[in-house]
Amino acid sequence: MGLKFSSGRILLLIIGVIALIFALKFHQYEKIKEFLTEFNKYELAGYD
Amino acid sequence: MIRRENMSREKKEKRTKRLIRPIPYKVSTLRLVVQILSFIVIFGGAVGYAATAIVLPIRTGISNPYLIVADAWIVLEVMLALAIVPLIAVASISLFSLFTGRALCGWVCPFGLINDVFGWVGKKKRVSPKTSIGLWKFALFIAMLLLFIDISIYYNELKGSSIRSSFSDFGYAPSTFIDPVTTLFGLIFWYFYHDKWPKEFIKIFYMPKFLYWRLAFLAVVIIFMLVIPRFYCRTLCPLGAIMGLCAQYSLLHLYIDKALCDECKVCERVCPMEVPILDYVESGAIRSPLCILCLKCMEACPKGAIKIRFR
Repeated sequence: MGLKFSSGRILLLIIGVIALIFALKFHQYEKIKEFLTEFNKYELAGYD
Repeated sequence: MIRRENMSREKKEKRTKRLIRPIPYKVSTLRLVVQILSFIVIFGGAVGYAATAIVLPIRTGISNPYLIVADAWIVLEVMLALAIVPLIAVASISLFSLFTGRALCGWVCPFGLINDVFGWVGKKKRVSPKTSIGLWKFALFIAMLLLFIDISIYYNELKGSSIRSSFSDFGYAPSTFIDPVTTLFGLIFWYFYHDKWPKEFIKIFYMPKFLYWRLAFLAVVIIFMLVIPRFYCRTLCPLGAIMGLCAQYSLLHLYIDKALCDECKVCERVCPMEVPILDYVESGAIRSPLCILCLKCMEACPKGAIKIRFR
């Protein structure tokens, strides 16, 4: 396995883990629950 | 001389056709079962499941009330438009593409299942592997363009000089302008089923902006899906394009054994994404941005030269 693949994988892992840790720290999962449980028109483009 | 060449080519083609074994309906059946079960679970609100906070790199949208998991692409767009760094979507895309590649596109994505269904119903027209890669590059270009718009909206929201209204009602998720997924799972559901149709028929005339455009776009995509297998996944899906870019570094991938492969091209003929599999014989690992790990090639290979591996 070449250096390109190793570095690509390490980069993806680092980005993923750091993003996940901060997402949990900032309680972003609550926002997701809000998107899924409350009516939102974000992707409905004008529906009301 | 030319006649002899033509004859030998015809013979070769006949031999290749003969080599295509009927799929033994093992992995294909398992994949279909997983796809249907995933569809039921993802829209599990209809059978009483509660919404979770899970974000998956699959196309479902976020506005269907029966959804229990969220679509990473729409979450990313909406969060950027609300001036929130979409960490949860970034984590989902990078970690899933690292550990599973594009397997979720092939096994879990509800719109992927719809693509497959239309592919079975319709007439299959093959494009060349070169064109197939070109289509993925086009999808990647669209994804980058949308990301640029999303990041511009985010930056201006942070600065307090909102440009969201410049995109009319599409300011929260610009991709929905050309997105059949959100039209099918979100808009149609709300408009034609949930409360307006057929109870308040007259309200059909008070339609959301660009309703007809979005319905027409969905219809055009469906027509193309009938002709070209997995048309949306290859040509328009921004999430699939980005996942394809990252999935080249995936731990889970297909491997082709050079010693066993006799280059009969059976694998390339059954691949719904038209991955140029034989280009990877030398390197071994099939690291194509198009590969959705449907395992059709593995199943069809008469020599058993293609295997799946995790490393």
